[in-house]
Amino acid sequence: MNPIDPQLPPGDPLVMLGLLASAILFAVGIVGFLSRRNMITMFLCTELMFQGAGLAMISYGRQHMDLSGQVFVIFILTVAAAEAALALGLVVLLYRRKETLSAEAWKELAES
Amino acid sequence: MIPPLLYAASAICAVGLFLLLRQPTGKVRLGATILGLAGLAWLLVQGVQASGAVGLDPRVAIMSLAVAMATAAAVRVITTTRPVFAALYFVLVVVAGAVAYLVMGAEFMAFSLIIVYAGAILITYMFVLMLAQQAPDADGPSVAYDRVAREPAAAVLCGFVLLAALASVVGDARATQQPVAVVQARANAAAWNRMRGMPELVQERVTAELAAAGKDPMGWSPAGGLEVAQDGRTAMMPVTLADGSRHETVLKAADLPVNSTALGWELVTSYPGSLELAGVILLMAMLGAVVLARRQTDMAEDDRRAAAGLSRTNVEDADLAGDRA
Amino acid sequence: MIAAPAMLSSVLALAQGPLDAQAAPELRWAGLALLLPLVSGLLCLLCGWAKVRSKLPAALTIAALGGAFATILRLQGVVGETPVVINLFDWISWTWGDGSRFHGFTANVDLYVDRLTVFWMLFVTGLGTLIALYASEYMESDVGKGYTRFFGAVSIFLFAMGCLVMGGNLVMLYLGWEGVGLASYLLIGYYFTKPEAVAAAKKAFIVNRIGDLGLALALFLTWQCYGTVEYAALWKAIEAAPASSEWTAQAIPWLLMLGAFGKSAQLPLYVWLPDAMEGPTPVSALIHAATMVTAGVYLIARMFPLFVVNPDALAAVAWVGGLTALLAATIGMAQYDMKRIWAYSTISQLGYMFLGLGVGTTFGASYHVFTHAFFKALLFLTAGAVMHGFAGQLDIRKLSGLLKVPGFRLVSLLAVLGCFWLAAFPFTAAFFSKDEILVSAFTAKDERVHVLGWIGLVVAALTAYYTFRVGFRVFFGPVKYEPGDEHHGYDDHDHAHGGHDAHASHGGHAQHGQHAQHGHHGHHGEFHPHGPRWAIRVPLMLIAVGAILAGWPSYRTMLDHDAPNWVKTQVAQSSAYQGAPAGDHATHGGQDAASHDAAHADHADHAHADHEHLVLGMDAHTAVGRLGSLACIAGILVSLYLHLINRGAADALRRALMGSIATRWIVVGAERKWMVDEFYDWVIRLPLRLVANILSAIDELLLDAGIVNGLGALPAAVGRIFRPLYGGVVQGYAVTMAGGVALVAAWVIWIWLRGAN
Repeated sequence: MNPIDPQLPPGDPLVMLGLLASAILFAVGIVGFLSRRNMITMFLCTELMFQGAGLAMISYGRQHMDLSGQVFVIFILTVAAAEAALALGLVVLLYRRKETLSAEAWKELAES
Repeated sequence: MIPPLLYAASAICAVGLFLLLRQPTGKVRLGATILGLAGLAWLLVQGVQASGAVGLDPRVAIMSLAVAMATAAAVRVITTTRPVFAALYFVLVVVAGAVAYLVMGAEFMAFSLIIVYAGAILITYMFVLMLAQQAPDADGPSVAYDRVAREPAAAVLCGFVLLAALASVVGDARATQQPVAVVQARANAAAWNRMRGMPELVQERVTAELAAAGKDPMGWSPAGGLEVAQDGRTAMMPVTLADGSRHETVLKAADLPVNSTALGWELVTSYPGSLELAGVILLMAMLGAVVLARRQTDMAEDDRRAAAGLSRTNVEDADLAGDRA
Repeated sequence: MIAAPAMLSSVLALAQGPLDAQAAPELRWAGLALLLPLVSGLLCLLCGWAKVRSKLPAALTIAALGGAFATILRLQGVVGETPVVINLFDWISWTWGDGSRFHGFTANVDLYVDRLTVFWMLFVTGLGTLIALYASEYMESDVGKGYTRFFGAVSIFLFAMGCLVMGGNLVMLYLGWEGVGLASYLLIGYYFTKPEAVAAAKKAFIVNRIGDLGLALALFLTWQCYGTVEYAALWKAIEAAPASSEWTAQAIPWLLMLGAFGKSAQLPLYVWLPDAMEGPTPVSALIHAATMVTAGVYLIARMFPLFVVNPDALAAVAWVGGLTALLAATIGMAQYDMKRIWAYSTISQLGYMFLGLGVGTTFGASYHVFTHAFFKALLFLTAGAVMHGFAGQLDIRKLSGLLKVPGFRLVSLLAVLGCFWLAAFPFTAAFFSKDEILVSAFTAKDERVHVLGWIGLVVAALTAYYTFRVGFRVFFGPVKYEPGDEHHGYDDHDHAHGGHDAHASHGGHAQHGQHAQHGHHGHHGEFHPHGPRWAIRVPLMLIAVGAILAGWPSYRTMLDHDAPNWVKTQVAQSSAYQGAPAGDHATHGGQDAASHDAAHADHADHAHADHEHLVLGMDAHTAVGRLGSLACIAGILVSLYLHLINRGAADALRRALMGSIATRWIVVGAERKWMVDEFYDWVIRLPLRLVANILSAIDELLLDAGIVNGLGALPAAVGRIFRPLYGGVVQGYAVTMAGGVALVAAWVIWIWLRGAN
C-alpha cells in the first residue's frame, strides 16, 4: 500500500467493506463454532474468526495508512499456524481415544 | 450509517443464517439463501453509503464481490455437513479474503495468506480429515452427530449480537477518523523516513531519476540528507554529480519502497521482539504437536518412574494396575 | 382458737414480729440437706454411665436422703425463733446506680431457715427416705434397666424440693419449683415406652408450666414492687409498706396463687394429678405425700405476708380450695382404680389445705399437710404393695378380702389405718387438722367464706364414704382376686417370683409355702400373689407410726390446755405467723414483749370473734368437732352398708340412679370426672389445634411451598434453561463465553455511541 494515494476519499468505502466483512466472518465463525459438533469443523470455524480478525487488521491499517496492521496479520498467521498444529494434534489424539470426532463424546470432562 | 438500519440488516442476515443452519431443502433453502444475501447486500450498501463515496469505483465493486464471496463461502463452511467440503469452502474464504487484501493494497499479505492458509494450514486440515475421517453412515454422506446444527438459535443470537456490535463500530469509523491531512502527513513522513533507512534504494532511485532528468547517472555522490517537501508528496535529495556540479534530485511517490519491502522493514525495525516471539511460538507449537501426536501409552506411576530411570516406589497404583494387567 | 378475724389488724400490730433474720454462717452444714440428694443424683448418673446392675443407686439415694433427714433433725434442734439466713455461696449480685433498693438484684444461694422451713423439710426428707427405701424393693424388677434412672430422678426430686423449701429467695424457690416439675416429668414418664405414661408426663409438665408462668410473673412483680426477692429483705419491705394499692402489688398474690394451683393440683389446673398415676407407685407416694403437691401450700404459707394484704385473693384461694375439695371428692366416689381414688382424695385434701390458707389459718393448712403426708404416703404405699403383689391389679371390683390373704395382713391393716386417717375419724391426726381448717372457715371475718365451712363438712362425709368404699371393698369381705394383666410395669412375673423365691431363703417371712397353697384361689391357676418383704414393710410401719404420732401435738393440747401445739409453734415462728397467732393455747417464751402484747390483743379479739360466730348455737370449735365426727361416721356407715354388708346394693343404687334421666347425670358425670378433661379438650386444645392447623397450613402452603420452595424453584427453573449449556459439551461453555462477550461488547458500544451523540 502506498500511503500517498489520493484516489479515494477519506471515508474509504474499501475500509468500510473490509470492516463489515471482518465482522460478518467473525460472527459466522462464532455461529459455526457454537452449532457444529465435528471437532474439525469447529476448528475451521476458529480459522474463520481468524480470517475476520486479519481482515479487520488490514482494513484499519488502510484507514490509518499504517503498516502495523499488516504486520499484525503476520502475527495472526503465526498464531493461526501454531494453533492449527496443536489443535489438529489434539484432534488426532482424541480421535484415537474415542474413534469419533464428536465433541459430545467428551462430555465426561464436565465438572459435575 | 444509522444503527437501527444496520441492526435490521444484521437481523435479516441472522434469520437467513438460522434457517440455513437447519439444513432446509427446496424452497425454504432458496428463500433463506435469498434472504441472507439480501441482508448482506443491504449491509454492504449501507457500509458503502456511510463512506460517503459517490459513483462506482471498480475497486469498490471488486471488494464487494470479494466480501460477498467470502461471506457465502463462510456460510457454506458452517452449513455443510461434510468436513471435507467445509475445508474446501474455507479455501474459498481464504481466496476471497486475499482478493480483499489485494484490493486494499496489502499485496504481500494477500499472497502470504494464500500460501500459508490455503497452502499449509488447509493441507494439514486435509491430512487430519483423511486420518480421522469416520466412515459415513448408511443413510447419508455425513456422520449422524453433525447432520443438523445444534442449538442454532443460541448460536445465531450470540453471533449476531456480536455482529451488530461490531457493525456499530464500523458505522462509527468515519466519525472517529482523524482529519485526512493529518493522517496523510504522518503516513508520508513515515514512508520517507523508512526510505532514509534504505540507502541502497535511495541510491537506485536517485540514479533512475538522474537518468530520467538527462543527467549523468554515474559517479554522483550524495551532498546531504533526504529532505521531504512541504506537502510531503515529494522529497529532495541534493547530490554532487560526477562533473562536480550540485543537483537537487526530486524523488516522487512512485520512488517509495514497494509494499513487501516496506513491510519487511517495518517488521524488523519496529517489531523485532515480537518477531522473535512468533518464532518461539511456532517452535513450541511444533514440539507440542510432536508430543501430542505421538502414540500414547498408559503407564502406572511406578512404571513411569522406572522408565525414567528412577527407583520404584512401592505404592501400588490401584487405578492403573488393572490397565497394566 | 384461731384469730382469723383479727388477722388483718394484727399485721400492723405484729410489725416487728419474729421476722428479723440473722446471718448464721456457723450453720453452713445445713447445706448438706441440699447437697446430699444432689450428690446422690450425680452418683446415680455415674452409676448409669457405668451400667451398674445392682441396687447400689437405691442404697446411695436412701443413704443421702437419710443424711438429709438427719441434717434437718439436727437443724430443728438448733434453730430458734429467729429465722436464720445461711449463705452457701454468692450467686447473683448485681447493683447499679447507688446500689440501694430497686438498684440491685441479689439472689445468692442462701438457705432461709425458720421453723416453717424445718417443719416442712422434716416430713419431706423423712418421708422421702422411707419412700426411697420402699421403692428399692418395689422397683427391683427393674434392676439394671431403669433402676438407676429412677433413683437418680428421686434424688433430683428431693434436691429440688429442698431447694424450693429452704431457698432464701424467690429465685431459688423458682429453681426448685422447676426442678420439681422436671423430676416429676421424669418419674411420671418413667415407663416411657407406655403411651399413657408419656402423655401423663407431658400433661403434668405442661399444666405445671401454666402455673409456673404465674410464679415467674409474680417473681418479677415482687422485685418491681419491693425491690428484692430475698425473703429477709422482702418481709421488711412489706412491713414498711404493707398494702400498696398499685395493681402490680395487688397482682402478686393472684399470680402466686396460679403457681400454687398448678403445682398443688387445684382447680382449674388439677387435671394432671390423676393421670400422674401412670408413674410407679412410689412416685405417686412421693408426689402426693412429700414433695410436689405440698409445694403450692408451702408457697402460699411462705408468702403469706403478701396475701394478708389482699383479702380478695385470700377469698379466692379459699373458694378454689373448697370447690376443688368438693369436685374431687365427687369424682373420687365414682372411680374404680384404687390409686386414682387416692389421687382424687389428694386433690380433695389439698383443697382443704387451700381452704385453710384462704380463711387465714396457715397453721391449719400446714398441719393438714403434715398429717396428710403420712396417711397419704401410707395409702399409696399400701396400694403399691397390693399392686406389686397382684400383678398390677388396682380395680377395686376385682380385689376383695385382702386382709385374709396371707402375706397381706399387715399391708391391709395399715391400709385400713390409713383409711381411718383419711376419713378424719374422730381423734385421728387428720381430724384435728381438718378441724382447724373448718373452724377457721366458720369463724373467718370475711363472711363470704362461711359457706365453705359447710361445704367442707359435706366433703368430709363424702371423703369418709369413698375412703371406706375402697377399704371395705378391697380389704374386707370374702377373699377374691384377679391378677392384673400388667406385671407391675415391665416386670415379667416369673422373674419377680424368682427374685422372691431367692429372697425367701433369707428367712424374712414364711409365707412362701402358704403362697403355694393359697395362690390357687386366684382365677389364674398360675398366679401366686406374693407379699412384700422387709424393705416395703418397714417403711410402711414407720409411716404408720408417723401417721399416728402426727396427732401428738393435738393430743397434747387436748390433755394440757396450756401446752403449745408444736406445729403451731413451728408455723407461728415463721413468715406465716399471721395465720397462726400464738395467742391461743400458749405464748412462746422466745417472743419479745411487743409480740406478747400483740398476741394478747389478738387473743381478746379472737375470743370476741369466736362468740360472734356461733355455729348451730354452739361455739365453733365444738360444733365443728361434733359435726365433723358425725359426717365421718355417717359416711363410713353408708359405705359399710353399700360395700361390705350388701355389696349388691351399691350396684342397685347405681342402676336406680342411671334409670332416671333426672339423676343419670350424677353417675355419668362423676364417673367421667365431670368431663373436665373433655371440656379442656374442647375449649383449649381444640381451638389451639385449629389455630395450629391453620398456621401449619399457612406455613406449608404459603411459606414453605410459596416462598421458600418458590425461591428455591426459581434458581432451579433458571438452571433448567441453562443446564444444557453445561452438560460437558464444549459448545455450551462457548455459548456462555461468546454470549458474554457479545453482551459486554454491545454494552460498551452502546455507552460509547450514546456518549458520542
